[in-house]
Amino acid sequence: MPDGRSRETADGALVKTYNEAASMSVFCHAHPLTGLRPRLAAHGVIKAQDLRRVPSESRVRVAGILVIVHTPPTRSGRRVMFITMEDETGLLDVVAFPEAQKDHARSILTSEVITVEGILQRQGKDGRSKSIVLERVIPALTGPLSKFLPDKERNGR
Amino acid sequence: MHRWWTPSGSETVDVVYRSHGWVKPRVGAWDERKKYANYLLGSVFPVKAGLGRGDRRSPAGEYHSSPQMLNECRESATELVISTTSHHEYRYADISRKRSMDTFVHLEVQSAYSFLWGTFNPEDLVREVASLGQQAVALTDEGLYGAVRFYKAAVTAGIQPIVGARLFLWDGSFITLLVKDFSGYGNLCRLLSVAFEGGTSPQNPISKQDLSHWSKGLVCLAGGRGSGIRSSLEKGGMDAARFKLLELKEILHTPEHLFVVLLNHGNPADPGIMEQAVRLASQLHLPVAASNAVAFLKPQDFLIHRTMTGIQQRHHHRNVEPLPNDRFFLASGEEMKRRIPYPQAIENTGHVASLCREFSLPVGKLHPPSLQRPEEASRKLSALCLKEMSRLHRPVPPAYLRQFDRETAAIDKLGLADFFLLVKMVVDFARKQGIRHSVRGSAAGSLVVRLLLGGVDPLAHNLLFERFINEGRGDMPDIDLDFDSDRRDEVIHHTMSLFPRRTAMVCTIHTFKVRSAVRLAARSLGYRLDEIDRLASCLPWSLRGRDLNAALENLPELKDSPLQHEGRLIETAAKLTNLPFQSSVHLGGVIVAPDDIKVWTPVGSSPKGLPVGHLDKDDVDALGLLKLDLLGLRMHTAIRKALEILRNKGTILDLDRMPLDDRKTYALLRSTESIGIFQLESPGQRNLLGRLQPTRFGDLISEISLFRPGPVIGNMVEVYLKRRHGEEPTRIPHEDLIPALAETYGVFLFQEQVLRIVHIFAGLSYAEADAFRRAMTKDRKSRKMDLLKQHFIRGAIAKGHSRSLAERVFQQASTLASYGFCKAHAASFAHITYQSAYLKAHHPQAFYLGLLNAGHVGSYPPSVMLNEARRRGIPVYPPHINAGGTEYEAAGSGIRAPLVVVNGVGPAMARRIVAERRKRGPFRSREEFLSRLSLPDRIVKVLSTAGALEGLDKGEWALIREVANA
Repeated sequence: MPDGRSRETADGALVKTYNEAASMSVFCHAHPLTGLRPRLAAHGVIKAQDLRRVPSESRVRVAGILVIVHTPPTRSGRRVMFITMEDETGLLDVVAFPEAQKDHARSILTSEVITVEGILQRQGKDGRSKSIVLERVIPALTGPLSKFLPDKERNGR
Repeated sequence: MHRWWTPSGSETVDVVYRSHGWVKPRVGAWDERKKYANYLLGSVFPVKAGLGRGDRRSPAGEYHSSPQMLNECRESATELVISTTSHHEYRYADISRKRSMDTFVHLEVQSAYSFLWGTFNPEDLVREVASLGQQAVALTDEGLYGAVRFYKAAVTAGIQPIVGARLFLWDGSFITLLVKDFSGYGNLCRLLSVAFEGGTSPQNPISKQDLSHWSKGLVCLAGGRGSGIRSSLEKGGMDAARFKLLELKEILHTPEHLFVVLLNHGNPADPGIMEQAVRLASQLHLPVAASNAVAFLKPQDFLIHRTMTGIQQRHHHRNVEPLPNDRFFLASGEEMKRRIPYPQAIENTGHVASLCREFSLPVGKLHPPSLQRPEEASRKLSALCLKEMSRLHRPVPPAYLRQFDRETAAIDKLGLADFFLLVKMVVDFARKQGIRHSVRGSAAGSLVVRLLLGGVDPLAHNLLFERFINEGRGDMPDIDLDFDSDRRDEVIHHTMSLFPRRTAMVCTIHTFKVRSAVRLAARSLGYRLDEIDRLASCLPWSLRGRDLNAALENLPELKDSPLQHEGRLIETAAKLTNLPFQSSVHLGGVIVAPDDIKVWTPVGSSPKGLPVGHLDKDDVDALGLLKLDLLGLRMHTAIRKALEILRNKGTILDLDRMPLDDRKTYALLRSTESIGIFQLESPGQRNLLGRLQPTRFGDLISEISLFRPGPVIGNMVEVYLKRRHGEEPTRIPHEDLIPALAETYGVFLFQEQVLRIVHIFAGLSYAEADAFRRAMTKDRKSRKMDLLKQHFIRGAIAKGHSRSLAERVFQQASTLASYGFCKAHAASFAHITYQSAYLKAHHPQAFYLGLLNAGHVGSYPPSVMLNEARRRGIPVYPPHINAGGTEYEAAGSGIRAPLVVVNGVGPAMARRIVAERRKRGPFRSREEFLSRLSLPDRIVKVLSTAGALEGLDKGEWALIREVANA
């Protein structure tokens, strides 16, 4: 069954990710989100590469490993957070304005895996420059990486 | 002695008395005004100061004064400002105080530059001294880290600065030395160099011989806090105290400048000790001086002092005793008179101040080293440039020769040929050793710099020499050099060996940032480490000027922070923020002094053993010393490593000489896949790449310059992009501006454009144009700015432009000046951008390996680079005991992660595994691995989890061999 097989590789990937997370500072075999993809897809989360096919101004859900949060100084003093995340297919640029920060800044700054919902903005030739204006963070799919990995101890080894 | 600055004949001078309103007498020439100032002020220090924010024009307007009014004004003025058309300004602050001087002067004061002891910055000290109506103050830290800053602040405020230090002596006691004249300053630096030798804090006692040898020009205060004399008196040992004092009197070069200090901090024993000290002094015919051993400005700051010493005790595990009570503050003269009932001791503090009045730091003058006679230097420079020019261009185009003449004329006129040759010596060494380097900043706009040091062609990219050097600049030009980070130390060592005993590293002072302040204050107040982690969670490293309280109120992520309930901690941390707490070494700043460095600054040693001074970069500028910025650029390291990998595979690339028009390179940039590419990898730059779609080198220069707060906020990016893509016509206000603005489609983008506009449109010289640019960058609302504007408009009208056009162009140019980017710098960086993009486009495997092995390059962690590599079809393999070691390596067409990424495996262990493998072949089984290298079980387990032992358990020898040979 094709479904079952993809499930199996995802589980295999999860175990490998678990092992790599437990033993190394980098991930070698695959991006950590590879194994989480079926679960993310079930919640309507799409991949970075698929944004190419989504028209500008659409509401999208994406997930990624947090790479950096940048808060450049602004003349107005309004702090804008530029959040760079990465999934297995590429980088994701998310912008959080102060209104959105009110409820979500803390979870963004303290999580490793972040799932957000927001509006896609595409600019430039063929809309090559893509960013997502954050509306909300999905708490169930946001948190430390360990929250998403199989727990060997509990699985009765 | 008055160090009056004398203007050149053609300048006019404004004298402004400031009191409740402004009075601006316009009388007479300079001499007459000087007379007024003298008459008014008596002995004060003239000051060169920048135009400060508080220094605006009178809101009520200015008016010409009658003689009566002038008199009135003199009586009521609190401040005198003298400014000239050449943009110098001298300010005499708070002149009314001169009429009611306090005779007491604090002679022993330790600021926050006595790290984790004093609780204030030198500027705060000066402000407080001024508000107490005292006329002078000493700063006597354990080094001279704060001295230049203190000196500048005091002189600006019209307070006499007394530079001094507290020294640790052979017998375990302390004395305070104050600088009487410039020879005394050199001697104090020498003594402190002894104390600092081998480190960045005072660690060696001063011997009798040293003190005797170098005490000329110094005033000595003995018997203060921590002195042997005082501790003897405390124990009633009058004879021991007398002996120590006699010993000092014997040693010192000028024993008549030895004072016995009287202290009273309210301890029951203090009056008795004072009495004994006075008796002792009179027996030995020595003067007494009152002191308060100041460590904080107000009594309530005692708590901050306690917190700081607590940090020393709990964080640094040092054995220090805080001061016993809150009396060690900057007391008023009245209070000091009450505490120390010996009028002579109070009066003598003023006497000491007048002894030290001679001394001034040579601030605001240049002190470059001189290697050879100017004519000789100039001849050498020309010969070197011409030789290189004829090598690069055959025949040499006339434009290059004209540019060369223009530059060398300016260089000779300013006497800078020597300086260029000095920098060339440094770069020649790097060339010879194959160390990658580049010139950054405005210097890249000079043809001479290009011929001597390499870099982009300033004529081909339309750069401007005058942005770098022009006759209007009084400071040393900066030639900042970037070197391969891994090899920068070689360059620094060599530079120091070129000028023995005349060099030292610039120091850097670390100040408390909000996060470190909270953490360390909490540590000092006794919080547990896990509590501290919890309290500091989500706290930004720095708040960019906002204070902690505002952050706690405004930042949403701190809304529920447990820190909200820690009032005392917040208050303490807020007071610590911005205070210095330790000194360290500036990574690339090398001072080259005209003579012995130790008469300019005390010299200690960096952890790497380099000499390091007590001057930070601002201090070096203030003293006019030559500073070379030999910086490290990790991208150079990454490129070098990538080129090495290619060379090992037989591909030799000369990145420095290749044309800048490779199509594949620009195509890669247009795809926005720019992770790892120099300067263009940030989210904002990736976004801009998608919109700008670069096709040529000029686009890269624009790309780097456009992504700055100015153009982004000014919405210029949009306009630029539309015009670049032909969606909107280029508009330039006047045809005279075409040469300056055509390259950017009429958008003001580069600082060089400001200079060209001012030069071409208003007919001003480039020197004036640059003064204009600098004034507009610093303070746009000043009087100076008004003068410049008038000058600009007059010039433009003289050139036949209408006033309204002139006003409009001025408006645009002045806006640009504040945020425009230096094109020469952008071009120099764009060259490195191009090189890194070329590598990524053509040799991605080598590119990633270079980046991964160059330490921390750019803004992305290794995992992001590995992910991208994998996406682009370059397989990534986990570390394996039979392959790889301390660095990422090529494995076929893929990348093998090194053993050091495994938790708990350090470089030493990785090297051991590699050495064993090299010596006796690959490991064939887990047992063999274990027996050949006895490693802790924990490590073996982690290696196994990481996949580094894959294939060994099943005896899959074929697989092992494959891994080992890949």
